[in-house]
Amino acid sequence: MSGQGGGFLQVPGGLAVTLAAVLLGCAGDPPPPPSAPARVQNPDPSALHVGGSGAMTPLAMRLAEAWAARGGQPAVVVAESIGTGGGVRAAADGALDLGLASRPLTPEELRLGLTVLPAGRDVVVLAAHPSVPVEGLSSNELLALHRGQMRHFPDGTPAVLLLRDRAESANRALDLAVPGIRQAREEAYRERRHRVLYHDSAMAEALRATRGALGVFPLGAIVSLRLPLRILALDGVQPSLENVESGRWRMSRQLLLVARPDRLPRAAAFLRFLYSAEAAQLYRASGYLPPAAPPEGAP
Amino acid sequence: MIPFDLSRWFRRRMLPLVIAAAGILLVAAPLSYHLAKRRELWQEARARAVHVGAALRGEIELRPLLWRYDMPKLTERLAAEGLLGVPRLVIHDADGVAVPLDVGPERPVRGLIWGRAEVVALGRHAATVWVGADAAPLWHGTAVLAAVFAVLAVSLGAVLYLLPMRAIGTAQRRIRVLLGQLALTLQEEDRRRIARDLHDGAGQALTAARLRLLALERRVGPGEEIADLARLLDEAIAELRRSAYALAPPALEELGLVRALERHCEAFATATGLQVQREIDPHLGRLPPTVETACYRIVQEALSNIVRHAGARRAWVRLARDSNWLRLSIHDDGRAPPAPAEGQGLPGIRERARLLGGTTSLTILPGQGLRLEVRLPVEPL
Repeated sequence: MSGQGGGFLQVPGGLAVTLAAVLLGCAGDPPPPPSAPARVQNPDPSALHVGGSGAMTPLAMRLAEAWAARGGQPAVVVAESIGTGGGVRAAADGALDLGLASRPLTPEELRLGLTVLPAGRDVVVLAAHPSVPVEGLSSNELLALHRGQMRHFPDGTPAVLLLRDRAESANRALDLAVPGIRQAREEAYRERRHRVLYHDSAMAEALRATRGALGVFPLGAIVSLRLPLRILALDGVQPSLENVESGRWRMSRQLLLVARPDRLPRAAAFLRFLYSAEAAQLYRASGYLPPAAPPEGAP
Repeated sequence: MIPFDLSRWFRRRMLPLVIAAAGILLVAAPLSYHLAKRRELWQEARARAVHVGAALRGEIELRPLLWRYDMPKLTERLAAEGLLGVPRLVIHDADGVAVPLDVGPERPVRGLIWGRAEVVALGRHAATVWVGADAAPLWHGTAVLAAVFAVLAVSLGAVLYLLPMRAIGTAQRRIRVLLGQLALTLQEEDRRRIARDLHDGAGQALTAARLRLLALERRVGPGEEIADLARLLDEAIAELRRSAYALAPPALEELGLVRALERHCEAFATATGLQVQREIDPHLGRLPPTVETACYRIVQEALSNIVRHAGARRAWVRLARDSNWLRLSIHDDGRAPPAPAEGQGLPGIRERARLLGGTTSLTILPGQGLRLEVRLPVEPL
């Protein structure tokens, strides 16, 4: 009898264990714990770490090479593009000594207390795969491409429009030059009409690898990296530094450097070089417009 | 009457079982659905976390130091590729610091089911990804299912419990009636046996005594004492016959209820001077013997009561059949008591009706006497 009684008692116990196992097997993973306190980034102090906007990264690399060639100290290390927003946040955290920006800072970014310095201008162009059989496009053709109404070039070659992500500052430059393009682009995003690239490096690779591809791209990257891409005219105007300076080519961006005030002394020598005549020549040779003069208060 | 209360026995044993069965039905399906769906959501969240982790690994390998600052582009890309679409995405770096994602304001949710994926890049643990799936549809679905199964459980419980209870109740009533019929039958058998004994025993002895007295009178000649003795014997014989008749009225078996009642009412009126008005449905036909006997006895008892206690001049006897019920009503114009009193033949009437599953009611009609109404089931209950 006692054995039977024990068996009877074991059944609910076994059921409870089974039920608990089933419940545990379906409960899901534990939720994320609270974040550990963020630490101040302190990269290698023997080098000057620079990074941010992909539009300015090729220029920064050329400047760093020139700085190294003339024996400048500390050495400049240019990080892979993380976008203007990422560059600003990394500079604020101290992960970068100098952040690269290709758009004005947002009010939230301005509240981070960073020092903002002008760093020249960048020219935004319509870049295309070498197979594209046209020298230029009209604003209407560009709108038609965005809207999916134009799918081929006049000779029948398929036209493959490549878009940058919403946050890309080159889009703002295009918006100023072509009325209505912003709305057409937003529709294209919503309807997933065209492929979207999220970094300049990915855009460069896609433009180079896709027959009939075209999209907005920085002129400086094409020149600096010697990318085999065709540069298209827009409404009969060829993009060039001269046309930007004369105002005929409207697609350009203000380039900026941002830094925590406590990091500026480390960057002082490099910044003096950046505002030098030697650097200005390098700017132009790389497809960028140099800053007019160092701002007051610059190191 | 019934030594074993089946209803109580069944209730005591079945109610816990029925409640347990209904409870299992109520809980099992919603719980199974909840667990299966929860597991599905978990696996989906985990799969998304793995997807995000794979994309994150590429970012980390490309930007080993600064990947955490490029997350807005990654999340935008994942959203465009349909890999997000979840209410919560949390990424911690290897030091457990939350990575800012810029995914917009968090949608308020009532519950989350988390899926986690570890990200290993460049040969080391680099980050952990959590994806939180919204548990609200799960709870909603569970609640709907629980509501449906609650209705089913209650219905099943009612069927499992109420139907047998009803059947047992019917069976109990039937048993009660059968036992009542049996008791009445035995009672009538006893009465018949006593009547037979009276007739065959005491009746025969009295008759023999009367004959011997006649012979004695012939031999010795008439005399006053002999005449007194003969009168006493005649009265005893008549009384004995009346008693035997009352104990086992032969008319009921021979004539049926309707004609037996007619005859009894006439005889009673003649014997007592009470005017008995009758409204007896002539088309009643033959009824079960126990019902006929009970009805006959109740009329006998009621009329006797009227003569004994009411001081009435007239009485009315009505008998009719209403579907499966025999309706008997006896009304007099005598003195009605201020309240129905027991002990005036009523308990016997009530007991007879109850034994057959019938009912009685007594109504005082101020200034108009009493009305006794009896309902007896004709068909078995």
